[in-house]
Amino acid sequence: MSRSIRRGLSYLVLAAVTFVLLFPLLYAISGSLMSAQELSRYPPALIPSSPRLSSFADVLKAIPLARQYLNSAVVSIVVMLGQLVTATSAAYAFGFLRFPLRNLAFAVFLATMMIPWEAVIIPNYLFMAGNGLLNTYPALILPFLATGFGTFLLRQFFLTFPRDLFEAALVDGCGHLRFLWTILVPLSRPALASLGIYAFLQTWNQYFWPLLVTKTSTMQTLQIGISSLRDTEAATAPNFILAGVVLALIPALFLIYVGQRHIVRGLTSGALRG
Amino acid sequence: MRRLALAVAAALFAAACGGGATVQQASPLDNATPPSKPVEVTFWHGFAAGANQDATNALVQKFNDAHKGDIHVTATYQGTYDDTLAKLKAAIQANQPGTLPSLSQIYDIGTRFMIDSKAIQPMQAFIDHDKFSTADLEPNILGYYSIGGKLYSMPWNISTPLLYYNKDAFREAGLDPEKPPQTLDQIRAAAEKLTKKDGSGNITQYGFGAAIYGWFLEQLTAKADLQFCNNGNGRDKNASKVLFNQPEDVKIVDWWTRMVGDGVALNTGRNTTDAQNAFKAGRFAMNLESTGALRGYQSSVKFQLGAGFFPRSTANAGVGGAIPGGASLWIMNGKPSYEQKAAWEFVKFLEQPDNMAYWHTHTGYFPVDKKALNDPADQAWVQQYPLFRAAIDQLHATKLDKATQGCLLGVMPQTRQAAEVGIENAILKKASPQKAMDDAAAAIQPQIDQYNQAVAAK
Repeated sequence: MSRSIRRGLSYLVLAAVTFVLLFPLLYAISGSLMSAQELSRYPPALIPSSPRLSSFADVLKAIPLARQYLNSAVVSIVVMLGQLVTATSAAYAFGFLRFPLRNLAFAVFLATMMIPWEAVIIPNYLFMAGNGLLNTYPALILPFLATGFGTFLLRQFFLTFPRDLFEAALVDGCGHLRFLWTILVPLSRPALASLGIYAFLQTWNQYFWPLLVTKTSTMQTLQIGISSLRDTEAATAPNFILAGVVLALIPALFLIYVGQRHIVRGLTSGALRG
Repeated sequence: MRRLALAVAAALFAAACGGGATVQQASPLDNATPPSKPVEVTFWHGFAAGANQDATNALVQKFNDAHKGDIHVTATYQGTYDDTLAKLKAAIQANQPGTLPSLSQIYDIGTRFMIDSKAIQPMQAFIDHDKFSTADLEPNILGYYSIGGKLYSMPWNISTPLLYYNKDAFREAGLDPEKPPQTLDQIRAAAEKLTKKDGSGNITQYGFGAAIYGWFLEQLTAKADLQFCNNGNGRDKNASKVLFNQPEDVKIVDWWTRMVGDGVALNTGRNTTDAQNAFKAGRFAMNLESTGALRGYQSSVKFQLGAGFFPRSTANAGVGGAIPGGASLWIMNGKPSYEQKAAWEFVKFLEQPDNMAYWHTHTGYFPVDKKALNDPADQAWVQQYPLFRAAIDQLHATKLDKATQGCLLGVMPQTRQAAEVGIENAILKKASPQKAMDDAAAAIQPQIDQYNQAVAAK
């Protein structure tokens, strides 16, 4: 078989797999452009016969989408930055410094990963309520600023650096902060990027916690806004919900498009050396 | 490490279950004056964006305009009915000023929990204090929310279940489109005629389909004039046992299992939206759904829609009836009396005949005040949606007794799910109908016991 045929075949297979993976997304877009009647036809229509944007307009009328976008973005970005800062500093301590009970302290850090988030929802809620933080950004952000998982991920990454690098820097009079900032962080970009993207998406997709601590639609995040489009009893038209979902997907898709190089590199770089 | 995590989880669970509401109760009768005006009333509801939320906001707006400088109501969506109740539970535990709303909408099956939470002010207290007349409110609706003759919450958005059907398909199958089946046996007979196959033997239209929704079994039980849980459907005292494995219920589940097994009914699972969409798409010709779905159906089906009484399992038409479902309004007692009274003003406002007529015509929910049906706008609406007539007639035909008042259980949401698992296991032939329902009843028993112990310990 000649090379070009083989190549053509593999493109064909890849295209087919991509289509299968993308189908739900494509159908969501296509459905959001259909009328309620067209969407509930059987057998189902795949392509809108006369695409219409009115579902999008209905969504924008029903929820303060721009504000909820902003809320989701503020919360996700602050949590992402916060996790990067706390996880980098903690991982630095566990990876490079020697101090008493270091391994025990690290084990305690890891232990936080074993406690299901659901178990701490109520104590966290009581804390927020007790301090009058309900329905504010701090309530949405504070519980997520530190991460056992991120610390673990970065520590493992830092351990792959030769210790000589660290010692040479110290001998040359480089302080901890300067070493961290000018040497370690630039070298760890892939790992930091994958943690950042992970933290962002995780926060972006949260549902129950933001629902619990917000009270007004202007403080609610996008995920709650989207779920508020669905009224199970009233047999709501699905095109309306799909339009909301498509609007919510756009930034996440954009972020993955921009960041996918880093995600892949971050996930695989540890795999070979670790 | 894992043991530690488990211990932490267990401790929290115990704390979450044991912590009763210790919010200070303010009597609605005291005459405390508000420190400033207008009095702020926060109102939580579970209405997603759409007609129901729009109508809610319009009524809130109208109230605020009429009480300018006096009372101001802020309504906010809190997630689904389940989410709203979960949030309220957390807020009751937090026991902090400002976390609780003044007024909350809670679905019917949260009623027992709300009463036991001790965090609410019974509606009866305001009714007695104001000498408010409930004579015009539908007694069959008040029945669900009354225990021992005392009204705990004010019914607001009320729906009843109906049998929806495809009149075109009825005509095609030689059935009378004006005479929908009334019993499960008649549905079976009609479904056999309505099921259509194409040349290669594939079924193109099933006769019947309904979501595996526990509410339907509760309704069929009430239609047979039987109780769903013991102790007078939980109305004499807290129910300690479910009865959905009694012979009549097993017979109903057996009927459903056979319908699916014999290929005259389509099983679309437990998600109500799936069954709604399949019915809209014409996949089956008869469907069980709430009155709430009427407008959604009318705007998207391409066939002529029919609606009839929810079916019954027995031939005897003279007993039982449908339970009004939906949600009611609860005033929280942790608020100062002037705030509770302000919330009560809003509740009364919503129940006024003109506002009930607005509510009915803009949402399709049943008007709680009888006089709303005489409102010209309301009558014009019923003309436009003549199918709604079936819901009105069905409600009035119901004989109020403990069976049709409906079962109250602190863990009613979980009980409904348990019943759904039972029905689904029978339909999927994982167990015989009797065994599936017995297992479901056994599965929910520990939760009922635990709940009753927690309430007794308070």
